[in-house]
Amino acid sequence: MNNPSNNGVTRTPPAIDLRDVTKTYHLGSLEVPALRGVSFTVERGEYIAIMGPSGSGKSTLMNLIGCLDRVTGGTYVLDGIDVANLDDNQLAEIRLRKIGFVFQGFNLLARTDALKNVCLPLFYAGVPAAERRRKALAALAEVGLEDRAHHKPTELSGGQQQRAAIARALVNDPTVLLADEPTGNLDSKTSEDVLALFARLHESGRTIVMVTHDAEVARHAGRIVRVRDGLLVEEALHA
Amino acid sequence: MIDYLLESLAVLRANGIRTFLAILGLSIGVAAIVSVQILGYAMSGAVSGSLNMLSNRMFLIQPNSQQSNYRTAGMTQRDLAAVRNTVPGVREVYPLFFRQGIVRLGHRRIRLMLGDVGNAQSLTTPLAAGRYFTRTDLQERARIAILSHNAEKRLNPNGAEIIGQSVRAGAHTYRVVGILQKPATGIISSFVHFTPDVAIPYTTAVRQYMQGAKYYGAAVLVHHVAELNHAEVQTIRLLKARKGGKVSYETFDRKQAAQQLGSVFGVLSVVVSLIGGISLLVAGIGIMNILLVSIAERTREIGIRKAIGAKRSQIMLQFLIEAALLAFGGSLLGCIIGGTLGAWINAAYIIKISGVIVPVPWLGALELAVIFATIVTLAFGTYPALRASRLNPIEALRYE
Repeated sequence: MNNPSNNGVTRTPPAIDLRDVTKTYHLGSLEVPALRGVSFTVERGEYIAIMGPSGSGKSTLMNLIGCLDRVTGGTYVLDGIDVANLDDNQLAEIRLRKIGFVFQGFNLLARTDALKNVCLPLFYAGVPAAERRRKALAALAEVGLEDRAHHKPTELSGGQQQRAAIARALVNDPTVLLADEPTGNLDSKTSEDVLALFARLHESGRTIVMVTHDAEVARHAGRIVRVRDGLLVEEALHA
Repeated sequence: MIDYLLESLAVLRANGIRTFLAILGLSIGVAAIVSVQILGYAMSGAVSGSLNMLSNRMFLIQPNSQQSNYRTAGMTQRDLAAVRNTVPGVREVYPLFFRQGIVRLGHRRIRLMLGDVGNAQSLTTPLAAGRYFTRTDLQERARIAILSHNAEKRLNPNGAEIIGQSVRAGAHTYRVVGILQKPATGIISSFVHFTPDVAIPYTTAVRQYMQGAKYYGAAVLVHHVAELNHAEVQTIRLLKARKGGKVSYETFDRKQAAQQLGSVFGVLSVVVSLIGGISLLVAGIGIMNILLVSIAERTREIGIRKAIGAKRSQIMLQFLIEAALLAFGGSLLGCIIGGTLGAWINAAYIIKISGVIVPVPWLGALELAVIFATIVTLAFGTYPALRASRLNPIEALRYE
């Protein structure tokens, strides 16, 4: 089951496949190990939560999964592509096509309205303007924000901003939706809305990786991965 | 591309004052250079315009006034005949003659300059009325005169019909056949050319004033422009040989006049261009500074864009376009300011110096502005854009 090449049958590769991944930061002459050998696989359509206290290596793991950074050792295969040794431009291309980021602080561009924000990944992907608009409106509709398309971030509530950010993350149809503390800046009611949206996206077949320190939030995922001191300490299967 | 442009425009508009100051700085530099170029163009146009009055087939020769043998160097009728007959390429030699004297018309007596005129080409100011001297006039040593604008005004203040009237100078009487227009008043014009108040045919002057006397100036006309320099050298050589070698002469032609004038304006335009170049450099550094500030302010935004999947080249293009907008805005503004300034100085001052109106070369100024804008964009926009494109997305996202 873990080996995609058994029986000689071609199968869909896992969304994320990390093997013995290490990450070491260099602070001057000091070597700081952030990850010390992490292996785990995320199948397509899975909804997993990565948990861990601050300083555990959780953020490092997220940056590696999101292709914002490169592993020091080990292999990382994303959607069948070995991304461990790609250069900056190739990583940008991977982020553009395969990863949809959702941040704690929403990270929408302040000057531009929700629609333009959602258009941004399509713009960098070279999609023509008319198609950009059509796809972005569809993505906004998917998160229930079509009537707020021309509002700027300052004119949207926190929950609405996060939904716009999710629409932006989905618009290029990525392999993985990668959410970093997506409810961290939201009140409990709005958090529930966003988590319900994630649940709905999961049901429709999306692969979701959510990084959080909140057990209540992590409970929504199908599987929880815990990080401590740069290692995976437990992989608790969830109902 | 249009999206990049709109995005950059939005950013620049959001920081209006900063953008305006950057553009202003650049436009001052461009304006300085553009106005100097226009003035230089107007100057050279003015110089060649004035010099067109002096035939390019003609040179003036006179004894060098610094020499002790000045009197010996004076040219006789025979010397001039020798030049005309033996120097290759020479078509005609016109002795130059000027004399101050009282000229009378009716009861009016005015002190004026009487001079001779060789042919129509040496009367460079157009006629206001009447006619030039004809070949027949010259052959017959006609007692006729053409009055300058100034002489006509002073002799005939009432504006009565003066063509056909007679003026008296000393013992001689001349019938007025023509009146010149008001000459272009300018330093260059008077430097290049001198028109007597009362011009008479040179053949008449020779008969009446120059019998046996020496000439201290002559105009030599050659058949072809190509023969001019050779004829100048040969004329001097011939005259020196005839005088025993201990004399010196100087010649003056249109090319020399152009060189003399050109060197003066050349120095001037180099100095102002240098000042313009320095201000352009300072303005370029200003633009670079503004781009760097803009990048620092938008670090987080750049981080978001890179996380979403923007490539280095796409980030770089964004900031290069911003630099280009600043550079082209500043350069075009500078082109307008400099062009207007140049046109104004041209109209107000250069025309007074040269007497010639030269149209402002707007297209050339525009070309210059576009070239400067491109240079500024590439020279001062590349580094900030490169810096933005190389930001680490993780650090940029953490930036507050």
